[in-house]
Amino acid sequence: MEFGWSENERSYRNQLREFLAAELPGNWNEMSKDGPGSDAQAAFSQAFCGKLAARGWLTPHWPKEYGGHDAPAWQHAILSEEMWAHGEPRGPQYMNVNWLGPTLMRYGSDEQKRFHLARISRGDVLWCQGFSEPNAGSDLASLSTRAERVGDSYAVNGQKVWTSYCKNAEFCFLLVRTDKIETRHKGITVLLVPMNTPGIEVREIDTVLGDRYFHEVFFTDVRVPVSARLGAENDGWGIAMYALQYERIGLPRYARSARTLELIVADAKSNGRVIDGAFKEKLVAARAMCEAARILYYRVIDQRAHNQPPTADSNVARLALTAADRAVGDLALELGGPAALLYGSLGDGNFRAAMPAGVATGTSEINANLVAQRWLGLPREA
Amino acid sequence: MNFRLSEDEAALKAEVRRFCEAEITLERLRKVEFPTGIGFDPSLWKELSEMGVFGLRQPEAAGGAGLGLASAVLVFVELGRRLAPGPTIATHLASGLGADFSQSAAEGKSIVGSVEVPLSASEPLLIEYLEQLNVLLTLRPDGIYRLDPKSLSAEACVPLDPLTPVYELAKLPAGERIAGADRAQTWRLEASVLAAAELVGIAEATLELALQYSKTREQFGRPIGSFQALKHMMSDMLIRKEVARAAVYAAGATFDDPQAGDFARAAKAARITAIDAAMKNARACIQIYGGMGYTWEAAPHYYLKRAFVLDRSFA
Repeated sequence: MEFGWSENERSYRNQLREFLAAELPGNWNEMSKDGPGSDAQAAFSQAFCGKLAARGWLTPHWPKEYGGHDAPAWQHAILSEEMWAHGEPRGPQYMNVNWLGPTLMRYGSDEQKRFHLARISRGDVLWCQGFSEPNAGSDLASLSTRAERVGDSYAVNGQKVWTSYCKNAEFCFLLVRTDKIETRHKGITVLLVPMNTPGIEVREIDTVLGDRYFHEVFFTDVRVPVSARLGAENDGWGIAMYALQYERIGLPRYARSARTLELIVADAKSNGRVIDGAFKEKLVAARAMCEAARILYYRVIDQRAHNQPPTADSNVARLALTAADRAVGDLALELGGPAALLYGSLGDGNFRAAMPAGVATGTSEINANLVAQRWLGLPREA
Repeated sequence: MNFRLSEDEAALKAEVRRFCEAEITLERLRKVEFPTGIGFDPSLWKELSEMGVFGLRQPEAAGGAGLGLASAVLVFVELGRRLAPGPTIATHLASGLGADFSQSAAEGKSIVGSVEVPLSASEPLLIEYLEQLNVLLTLRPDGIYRLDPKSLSAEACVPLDPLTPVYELAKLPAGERIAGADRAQTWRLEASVLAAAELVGIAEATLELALQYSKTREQFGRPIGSFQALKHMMSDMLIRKEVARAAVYAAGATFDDPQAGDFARAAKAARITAIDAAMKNARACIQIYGGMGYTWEAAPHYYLKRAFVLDRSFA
C-alpha cells in the first residue's frame, strides 16, 4: 500500500493548477453554469484543449505513436480531477480522452487510429455518443436503429435519445443494428459517423440541467461508408462494453463535489448563516463520501495501471460516486440560504448538476444488479 | 379516538380533489411558468377563493365555513398534490387577522404574501409572488407587520421553481404592526402544518406518477415496475407518505383540540416527516422516470422544486 503522490505527480498537479488559474477567464463560474455542453463551453474548450495539447497535457498517458507521452495512468487521474474540480473546461472533449481514445486504440483500423487519435490528441474535435434509444435505455441490447448494407456503405434509419453535446459535435460513436432484433447483443455494430452527413437531424431536449445537455438524433437514410465501421459487423456489443468500462468510471465527480462543499461552507460563513450540529453532521458525512469515492476510484485506476481485468470495484466505485454527488447536491440546496431559490446560484447549479447522477451512463439499479449477478453470484430476476 | 375521516371531512376532501383534478392541470400551470409567464393564474385564484379555501376556518357569520385545522390540512394536501400556484397558505391564514382580511377573502379579493424577516443583511431578500399581492405581511420576532406591496420596488428573478415566481427587494420597510409576538408564533406553527400538508400532497402525487410510469414503461420485455429494485423504491415511497400523512392529520386535530396533546410538538413532527416524504419521493420518482425524469416535459421536476420551496417556507 502506498497512498502518497510522487514528486513528479505533485509537480504535475501544481502546474495544472497554475495553468488553470492563468487560462480560465474571470467570468468562468458564470460561463460554466450550464455544463460542459453549452455553446459557451464547447467553444471555449476548442482553444483550451489546443493549449493543453500543446503542453502535452491533453493525452499524456497515451502511447507516443498516437499523440501521447507514455505517461502513467495516474497522470490521467490527476488531470481528470483537476479539470472536473474546475467545472470541466475541456467541455465535451473529456469524453474523447476518457473512453473514445482507448476504444479506438483497441478496435480501430490503422487508418481510423491515424486519423481520429491524431485529432483527439490535438484537442480540436468534438464527439457525441449514439447509444440510448426511446425503447432501449437500461435494456441497451434491444436497440433498433437499423443499418442496411447497400454496396460499400450502410443506410442508417432510426432514432437516438439523451445524446449529449451533439449540437456541436463533428462525429458520432453510433451503435446500430445490423442483424435481426432477436439477436439482441449479437447483432450490433459500431459506426463512426460524421454528424454533417445528410439525413441526420438533431433536436435539443428541454431539460432541468442546462443548455445543450441532451438531444434526440434522427437518422433518415443516412449513408455511412463501410470504412467508417469500427471492428467487425455484429461485433459492436463487446466494443460498446469496453467503452462503457472507461466511460462509467471516467469522471472523478468527487473532485467537483468536494470543491462544492468548500464553496458552500465558505458562502454560509460569509453570510453569517448558522451551521448547526445537524448540518455539521451532514457536511462531514458528505465529505467522507467524497473521500471514499476517491479511494475507490483510485483502486480502479490502479487496476488499470497494472493491466488487470475489471472487478466489482468499478461498479462499487460508481455507486459511491453517485451517492457522494447526490449528498453534496442536496446540501448545496439546503445550506444555500435564500439565494438557493434562484436559477444559477451555487445551490441551484449543484442541484441541477447532480440530477443525472445515478441515471446517465447506466442507472444505479442496473449497476446494483450487475454487482449482484457478476460479483455476488445471485441469479437473474425472472 | 377516531382515526377515520368523518362523512363531512371525506366529502370535503373528495370535493376539493375533484376540483383540483379538473382545474389545476400541468397544461394550465405551464402557460404561466415564470419568468416567461407571471407565475400566477388569477382566474384559478378566484375559483379557489370561491370554493372557500381561504375562508375555510372563519366563522360562517364572516363568510367562512367554520371548520378547523384538521379540515384545512385535508384541503392543503390536495392543493400540494396538484401544485396549486399562489400564496395559498398566507392568504388562508390572513383571513384570521381581522375583519378587513376576512371580508376581502370572502369577496375573493385577497392575495396575501408573507415573509420571515431574514437574519443576515448580506443575503438576498426574496419575496414570492410580490407583483400579484395586495398585502405583504412580514413576520418578525415581535409580531406581524403589514406592508403595501405596491410601494416596494423589486426585481423579478429567474427562480429555481418555475411555478413559484420570486422577486428580489432592495430594502424592506418596517410597515404597520398588526399583531403581537404570540400571534406571529402561532402563525408560524399553523403555516408550517399547512406547508407539511402540501408536502404530503407532493409525496402522494410523485408516488402516483411513479406507479403510472413504471406500469407502462417497458425494458427487457416487461414493465419496469416488475423489477424488485423499483418495487422496493415504491413501497418505501408509500410508507414515507403514510407516515407523514398520519403526522399531518394529527397536527391538525391537535390544534383543534388542545386536550389531544402539544400542538407545537405535533406541528414539528408533521413538518419533519412531510419534508422527508416529499423530498425523497420526488427524487425517487425522478429516478424511476430515468432520463425522462430530468426533462422539462415530464412533471416530476416541478414537484421536487416545489418541495424545496416549501422546505424554505415557514420552517
